Amino acid sequence: MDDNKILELLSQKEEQALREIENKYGVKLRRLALHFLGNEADAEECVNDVYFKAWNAVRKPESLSAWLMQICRYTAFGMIDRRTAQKRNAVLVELTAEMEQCIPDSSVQAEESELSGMLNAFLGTLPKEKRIMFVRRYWYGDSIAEIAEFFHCREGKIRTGLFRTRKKLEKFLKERGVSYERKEFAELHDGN
Amino acid sequence: MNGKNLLNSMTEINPEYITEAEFPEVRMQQKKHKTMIRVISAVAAAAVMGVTAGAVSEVFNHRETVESFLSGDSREKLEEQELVSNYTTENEHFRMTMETILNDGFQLYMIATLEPLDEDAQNFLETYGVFGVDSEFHDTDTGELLERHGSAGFHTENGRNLMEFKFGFENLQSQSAEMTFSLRERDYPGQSYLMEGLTVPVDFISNLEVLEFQNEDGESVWLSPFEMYSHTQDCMTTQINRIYLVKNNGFSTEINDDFELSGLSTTGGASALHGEIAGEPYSYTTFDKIINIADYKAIEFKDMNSGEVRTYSLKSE
Repeated sequence: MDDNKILELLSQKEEQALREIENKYGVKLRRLALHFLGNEADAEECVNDVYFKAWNAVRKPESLSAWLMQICRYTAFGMIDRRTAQKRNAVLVELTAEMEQCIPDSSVQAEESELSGMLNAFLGTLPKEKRIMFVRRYWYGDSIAEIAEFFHCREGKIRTGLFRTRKKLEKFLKERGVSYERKEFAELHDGN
Repeated sequence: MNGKNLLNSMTEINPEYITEAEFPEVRMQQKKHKTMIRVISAVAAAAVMGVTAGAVSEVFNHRETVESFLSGDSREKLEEQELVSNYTTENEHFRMTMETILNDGFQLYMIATLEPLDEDAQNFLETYGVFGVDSEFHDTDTGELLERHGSAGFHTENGRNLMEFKFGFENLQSQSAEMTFSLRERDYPGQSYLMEGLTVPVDFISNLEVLEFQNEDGESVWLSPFEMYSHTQDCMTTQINRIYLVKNNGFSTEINDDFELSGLSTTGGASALHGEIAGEPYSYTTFDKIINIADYKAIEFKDMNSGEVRTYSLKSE
């Protein structure tokens, strides 16, 4: 079913909307949730929460797919925040550590909302291929192997590409005065 | 603000970027028909990249560059064996296409085309023609400098420079690296900026088969598609030895006759390349063409003074 039609059904509180969303996006949403949460039970809980939030949302988006994925990511990260350090998914630990490399040492703090704007601006400067690699890694949480498979190239090329893009992001943020609150690695995963 | 904040902030990026990066549904299915899925995925990948499907191909961007360094049907062999890289990196002055990266576990052998993009680069090529380029390899994950090597831009032809790199590595603890390039200021004053920012990803994982041949004393020689090497210093020296590759059908070819050897004259007067890697001696001879190593069952070294022949036979598994 066409996304516009699904949105229309959703706004009319028709249950068929949720069945259509499950049929069309269920697999992708579970996959995204699983990347960050690491187990199927939590991923299932996350996706159910997504449907609940989509049903109750007041404003409906222009892009159904991206909207659902964003809700899913928010929900997954919220579940992660409520977990103890022992239950942190190794993928998230790895991604967080990689993103640490992008944050320069300077003297001005930035709010997350402000950071989103900067990230959008940064992503707009990238060639399409590099942007997709970056988004697949740090938005979708894909492994290096998954990204390499899609691009039909060696994992080394993906790692190199991401490394260079992280360096560019670091420079981009530094030029905009974003700072880094240095913490020990262990502290980062205590939710502090 | 920390890495977690940055990762969180990614959620609110432009929805168009999220959609742009969605993988096609075909990848969600079980891979029951690998070939078909690979074809479909390649088309889908090409569609995402905005290039014509079929441009995801396995022919060299610059076939003439490869053919200038490797003779016979080498270029075809590399294309058939999917050893085409075509990796492109550019700055505002040059575009470098790394045509192929061959790794037999002993050396890396790479061929590249360097094209000028502006007047500065064009003038440089016209002035220097053949020039020395320094390369550095930095670990992909840590950025640590692993190796530094020098090599030459081989010759300039039709406005492009054709380059050949051969590197042995001391310690390959890393899996992959970024290769960067520089021009020495003392040799090319005021020109060192021209190659800044050019980078090529390099895996240190072998992508070639290598065969080991052993003599009765247990000494080994290894044969790869682009070279042969040993861990003795004088093995490849043609002042001492005539070297024959013996085919499975019994016919043998003297290397000097059929192959032009890197670093050797055709009369065999010069020494083969040798040295030490990680404290171990080595010598090697690179070929001017890609060979099918499976065609050979033995390598013979005939001492030119004594006439003694040492035979290295294919080592059985």
